[in-house]
Amino acid sequence: MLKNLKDYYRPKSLPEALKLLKKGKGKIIPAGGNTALADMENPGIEGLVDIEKAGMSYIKQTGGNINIGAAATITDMIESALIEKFCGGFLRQAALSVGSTLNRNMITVGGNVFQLFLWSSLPVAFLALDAKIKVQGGSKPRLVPAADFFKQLPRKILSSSEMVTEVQIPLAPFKDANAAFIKFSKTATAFPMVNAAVILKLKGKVIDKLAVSIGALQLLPQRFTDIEASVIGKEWDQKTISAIAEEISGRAKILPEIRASAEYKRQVVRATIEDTLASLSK
Amino acid sequence: MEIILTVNAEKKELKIKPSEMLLDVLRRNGYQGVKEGCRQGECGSCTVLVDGLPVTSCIYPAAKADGKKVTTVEALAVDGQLSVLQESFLDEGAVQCGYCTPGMLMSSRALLDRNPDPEEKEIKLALDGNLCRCTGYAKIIRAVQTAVRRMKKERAK
Repeated sequence: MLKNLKDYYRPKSLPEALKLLKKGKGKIIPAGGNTALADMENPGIEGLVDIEKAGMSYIKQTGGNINIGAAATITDMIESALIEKFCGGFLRQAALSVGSTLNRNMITVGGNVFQLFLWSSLPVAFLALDAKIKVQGGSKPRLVPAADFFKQLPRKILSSSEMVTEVQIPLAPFKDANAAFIKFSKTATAFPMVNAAVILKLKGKVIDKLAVSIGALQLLPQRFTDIEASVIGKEWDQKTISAIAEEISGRAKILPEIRASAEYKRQVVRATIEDTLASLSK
Repeated sequence: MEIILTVNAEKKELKIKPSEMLLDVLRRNGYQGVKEGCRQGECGSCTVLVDGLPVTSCIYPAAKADGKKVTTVEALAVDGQLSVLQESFLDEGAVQCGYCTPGMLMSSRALLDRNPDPEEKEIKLALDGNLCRCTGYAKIIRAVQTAVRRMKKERAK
């Protein structure tokens, strides 16, 4: 509950929303699905800018990209034919792993990317896809590669007048790619123990491109591009799959938490990556 | 601030604080079928439909509902006559303590409005945000299936 909240703005356009953020100097913040507000007690917040009607609820193909507006909900993603067709439904799987149906009707793509909860699945998928995050509100719009955007908590990257407005996913690199997203959790809607996103392109039986990212082990998603690069040209078989899973799980940063020990989670990471990679062989 | 919205097909002009959640505003205005549970959007007992989509009203700002159509469990029965869905919950014993029932009904209603003939896995997905600590879900799922059969029969008449 934001006790000092005085205003709730409903701008009809992005420029109007950005003007409000600039005026607020950090006391007015963007609000997408608002699911983060339940636990928010920041007494410094005096205004919310609801971006629902500000023209950012789209999912469309533009040029060589899929562009997803920050106000599109997770349900919008799940119901999008474009998302379903892309990479064998990989992004749809990632979207389905976020919270429950009730949450998914509210949570926005922009919020999931910016807030970074343990259950934020989309950043894990976007990192593997080399997506770009569009940020507006500063002196000029900027396109931040996911690898940079998720290097530290996004709130440290964005100024108080900036907000995430779009996620851009390049199509060409993933033509004919095989991909899978797996959430390992105790129940379908429970917080994940680990999320794994894998994308694979083979040339015959040999690895041509591989991307593996993991999430839910700390707030930031993790990707190991050096491990990916080291297997290019290797044969795609169980031995390679096991070696990749072993190496990534060994290097994954795992925050201690109440549900399971780091040792247990490391085993879960290894098994989940192995299962996810193996699912691409079927 | 003031919001104008439609609650159960009735136009309402309500005074709210910008920080208030829809759950509190609805209950204060007499819609007490909307239940408070976790206040974190996790249990689904406060589920209402906003423009036909089920959401957890405990984390849905009331200000966001301005100009929208809100449906609560009170809208299901008409002139004291329970809906087919409600009757099915009773007949299948899908209600034990009853606290989660309004939320279960609203999520089920939203599903059936969009998909009148769902498969079991679709029912489970639609209800995945509604927790029940008594029944174990089997009877709730059966109740939705019963409602589907009865509604099909009604449509065929």
